[in-house]
Amino acid sequence: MTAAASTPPLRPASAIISWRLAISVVALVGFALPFALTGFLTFQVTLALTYAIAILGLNLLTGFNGQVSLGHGAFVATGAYVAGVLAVHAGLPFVLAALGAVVVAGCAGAAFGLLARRLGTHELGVATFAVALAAPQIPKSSLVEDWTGGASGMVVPRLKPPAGVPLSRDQWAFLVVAVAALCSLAAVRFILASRFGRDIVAVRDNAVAAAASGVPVDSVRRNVFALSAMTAGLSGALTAGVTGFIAPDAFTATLSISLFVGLIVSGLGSTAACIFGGFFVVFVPNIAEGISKGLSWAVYGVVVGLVILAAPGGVAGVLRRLMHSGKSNRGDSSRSDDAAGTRAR
Amino acid sequence: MSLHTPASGLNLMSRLSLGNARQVYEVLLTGLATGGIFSLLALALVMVNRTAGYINLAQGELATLSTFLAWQLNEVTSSYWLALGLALVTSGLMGAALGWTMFRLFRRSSALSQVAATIALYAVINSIGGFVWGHTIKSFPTPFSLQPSSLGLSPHALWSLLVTGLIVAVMVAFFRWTRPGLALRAAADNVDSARLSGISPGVVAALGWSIAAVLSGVAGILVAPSLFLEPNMMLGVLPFALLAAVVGGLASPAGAVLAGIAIGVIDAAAMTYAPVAGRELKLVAAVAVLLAVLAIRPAGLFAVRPSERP
Repeated sequence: MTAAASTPPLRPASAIISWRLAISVVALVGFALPFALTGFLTFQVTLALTYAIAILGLNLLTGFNGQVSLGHGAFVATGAYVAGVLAVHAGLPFVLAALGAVVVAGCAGAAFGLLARRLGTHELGVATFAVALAAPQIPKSSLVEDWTGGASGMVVPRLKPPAGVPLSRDQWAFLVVAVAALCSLAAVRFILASRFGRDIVAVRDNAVAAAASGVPVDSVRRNVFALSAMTAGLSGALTAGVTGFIAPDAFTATLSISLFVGLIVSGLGSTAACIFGGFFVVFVPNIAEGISKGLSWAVYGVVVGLVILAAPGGVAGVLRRLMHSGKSNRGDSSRSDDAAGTRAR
Repeated sequence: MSLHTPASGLNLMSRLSLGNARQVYEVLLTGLATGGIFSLLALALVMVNRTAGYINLAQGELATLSTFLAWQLNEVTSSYWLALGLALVTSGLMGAALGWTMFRLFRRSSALSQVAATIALYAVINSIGGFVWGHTIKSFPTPFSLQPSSLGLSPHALWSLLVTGLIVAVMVAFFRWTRPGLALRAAADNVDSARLSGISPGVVAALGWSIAAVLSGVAGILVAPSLFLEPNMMLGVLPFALLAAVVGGLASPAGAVLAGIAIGVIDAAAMTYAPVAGRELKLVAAVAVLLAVLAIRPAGLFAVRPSERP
């Protein structure tokens, strides 16, 4: 690896500069968005970013480590409810409540990871899906109703700009979520570039070979599950702060399935492209409803099917093909889709 | 024991004692009848998994679609038996067509994309069902009474049990003694070897889907009179079928049937004896059982892990 890294990449410097320029422009335009859009559209873009964070965590787990989850909505719900309860019943400020949410979701993920690492792909898929199906019953239960508001949900403090900042609530929420998304992206990319990141991918590609090379396969799988759940928990806490209201019906299995579809749309083994998955989750059902009110889910289903057929590697795969010449030195990332597919088979 | 004794530990003890054998018997029978439905749907999931290689999350929607078809045919022909037969034949053909189409379209996709494709199919069928037949609930006919008889079980539930038992027997015979059954088993065991022996994986997938569609259609038609027919009818049934399929072992038809019946009985028992865990936290309790089983037997209770070279 060091040899490859020290060898200068065989691509024109202008390509690097133009891509960095393009990304910076996109980021700048992104941060300017809430000042150009209407309040509601800003709100929707903010929600899309919270989904993108959850999908990023899911991609770390499924795309890079090969562990399927059809139940990440449960960890999002954990984050939202822990943040909500901490903010309402303990009166904590949002940042601390979100921190608590991330920690608790991470612990839940680590606990589930102990089981998940022993299961085959299909069994894990169904087990996580079952967790997603059951999760909404927990906050509804009479045992914790006083804390969670039961089936009718609970009002939680919304994110609001500090005194003296001339921004609307929606604009402030957007900025907070955008910063959180960028930090999560940086953290995930940092992890993937580290030695631990190599372990994560090695376990996915060939667990036996990884174990033979001294990678602690079981603890890697558990830790990745914990990290992924932490990311989902952050997404949940942000959702609570953005919407100001959490209810069990917001975290049904449909959420988990949407996140999974968002993952496939983004592309397995992608990081920055997860933002497209987030946008897909929020906007495609709306667009489908615009095309046909009665058959909106049929349109949605057809769109999902077409994306799978037309872009087997998701949006990331399409982008990768577009910038193929510039990416030729990063063999590992361009191979990751095929590898993920092989492992899942 | 008086009917009006206040609930106490002692009372619970006496309720659980042999003094109430009648109740235990009723719980068992009810559980068997519900479990039979879970078994059929679980069997359908196992069929698709073994022949096509993925979990079909749209299986419950296929069941609802078959039930809608049967309802429509019953309205037109006003004969339950004719509607039942026609609906199941149509379901089988539709299943074959869907299985073949899914195979042609997504055979090169990754396993996860195939699961996403079944999610897409779920959305399409659910939406079309709601569009064609509406979202208002319909009552589904049955020639048998739904009132409990002196046997402790309604005639309809007995009929369900009988049909389930018959279908399981037919399935066992099919896999054991017929050539297509053998081909399906071969393909499930080793796709590549099966292909080399002249078994087309597309045909196998279509056959598996077709059988699964009939099985889930029967499950839908049998469960519809006690639920209400609407596009999301199977939403409450599919989870238990998924649990049964995994607890039994995703590759084991017999395991799926036994696990389905066990889950039905446990569910009925929990509803009677543990109201909080059995009703409010019904799914949570069921999932806890699933996770406990997987912790001990990661591939399900009845799975035989094939020895494989990595």
